[in-house]
Amino acid sequence: MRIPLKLNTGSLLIILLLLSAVSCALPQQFSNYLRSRLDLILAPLADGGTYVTTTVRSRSQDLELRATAPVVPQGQIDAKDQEISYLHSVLVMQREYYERQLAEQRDAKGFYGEYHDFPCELIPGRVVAADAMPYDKGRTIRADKLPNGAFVTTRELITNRSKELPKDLSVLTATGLVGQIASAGEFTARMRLLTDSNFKINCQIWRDPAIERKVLVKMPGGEQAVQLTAANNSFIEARAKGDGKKGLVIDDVMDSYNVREGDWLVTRASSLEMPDHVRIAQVKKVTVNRNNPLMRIVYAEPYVDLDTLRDVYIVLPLTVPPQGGAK
Amino acid sequence: MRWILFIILVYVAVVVQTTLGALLAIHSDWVGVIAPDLLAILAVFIALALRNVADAALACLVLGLGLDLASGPGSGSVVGPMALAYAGGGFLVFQFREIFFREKILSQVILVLVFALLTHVTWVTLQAVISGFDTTWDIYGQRLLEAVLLAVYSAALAPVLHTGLIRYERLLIPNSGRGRNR
Repeated sequence: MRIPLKLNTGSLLIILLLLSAVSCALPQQFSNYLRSRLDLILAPLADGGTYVTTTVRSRSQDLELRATAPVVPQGQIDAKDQEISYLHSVLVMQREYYERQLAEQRDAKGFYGEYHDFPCELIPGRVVAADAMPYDKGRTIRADKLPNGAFVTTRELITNRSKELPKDLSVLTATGLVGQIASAGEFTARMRLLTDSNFKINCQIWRDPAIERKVLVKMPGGEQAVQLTAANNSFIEARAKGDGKKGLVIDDVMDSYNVREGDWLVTRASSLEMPDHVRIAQVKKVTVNRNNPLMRIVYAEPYVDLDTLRDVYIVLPLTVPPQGGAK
Repeated sequence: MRWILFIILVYVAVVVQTTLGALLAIHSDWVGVIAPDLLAILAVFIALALRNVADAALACLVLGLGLDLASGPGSGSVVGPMALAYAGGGFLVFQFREIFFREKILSQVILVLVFALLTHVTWVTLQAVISGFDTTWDIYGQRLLEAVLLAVYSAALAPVLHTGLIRYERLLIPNSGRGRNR
């Protein structure tokens, strides 16, 4: 079949070459517009393909875990089952106690507490495709009315904490931030993953008190090295960026903070674009910054498995973020 | 060349590249993700099969455009560089194909390696130039390394895909240069 135009392929080739060259010179918004058009066509079929990919990857990870799991005697399993039942009953009691306390302190907490309300709308989305090339770490999301710059999480956040909290707090599953909307079309959007080299976020490092270490604490007689505990622990403000491979990196953490492997990167609410303390990544390695021996470079791995990412929520704050927020 | 069938093939190839392609990706602590470029393999196959250089370059340009459109906006990349690079790559493969035996596995591997290397290095360099100061030397170096590994991986997969594509070649290109009994 011939192309139903009077143009021959040579002319068409020249026209398309010229258009491609012009597109290179145009602002990125034009490219984003073209991509959003393609996404509309791509999404229906790609959805099925992504389902297959994520399912196969999840299953293979399960099989790997089973293969490497040690064989445990039946006696130990029974003992652990009893322990789990006991801990579950303790958890239920603690949850009831917590809910009572929460109900009593709800009003005061909004004014004086460390945690604040974060009114936002959560837009559910579904990952339908990955990037065609491995250089950018991104995903295509199928969802409506997404703003550029909005953060993407897998966590079912409570959207308006001024309202009654849900009774079953287990909806707060242990998942976290996965990326940020880079460009949005009508029914699809492109998400920049945490690991993309252009991803940057103002965050906090939370040092796990279960990991023994000495930290410098201000005392009346000057700074002293003391054991880190829940009482003297504090959040360390930082700015993390994607390393373009599989993690995040912070290259200016002071040595005196003594950040270790196993610590956490969590969100910081100062930008008003994300609620506080949503998990981002876990510290995997800390090395000396060669340019400044007093500083450490912290490498962290995303908390959420980005390879099997499927259902996500886009956080749409209902407050206006200040200028110069986290981008 | 049946162009409508070809456009459908490009669409399917882009879908496969953006979805099932992840299953072929290799994760490395050293360079991150190493993934093949399935469209490069298809482009070389078509450039080898077509008889007209303009057809070959046009088909490769369309494949490159598909790849450009399906790539992410994470680094501020624009649409166009991969279309240009693929058109150039298709032109070169067409020019040099006479010195290769198309049915030989080694020929397919070498041509896909050169094609993928050329197009992806061009893409990485053009995007770095277009993005201006946003791309640091570290990121540029890392992407070049990824491009080299991608080319090697794609070349390794080329014989498998070419074997499958040859069976359906006459559906797409009825008057291809390749004989049925060769």
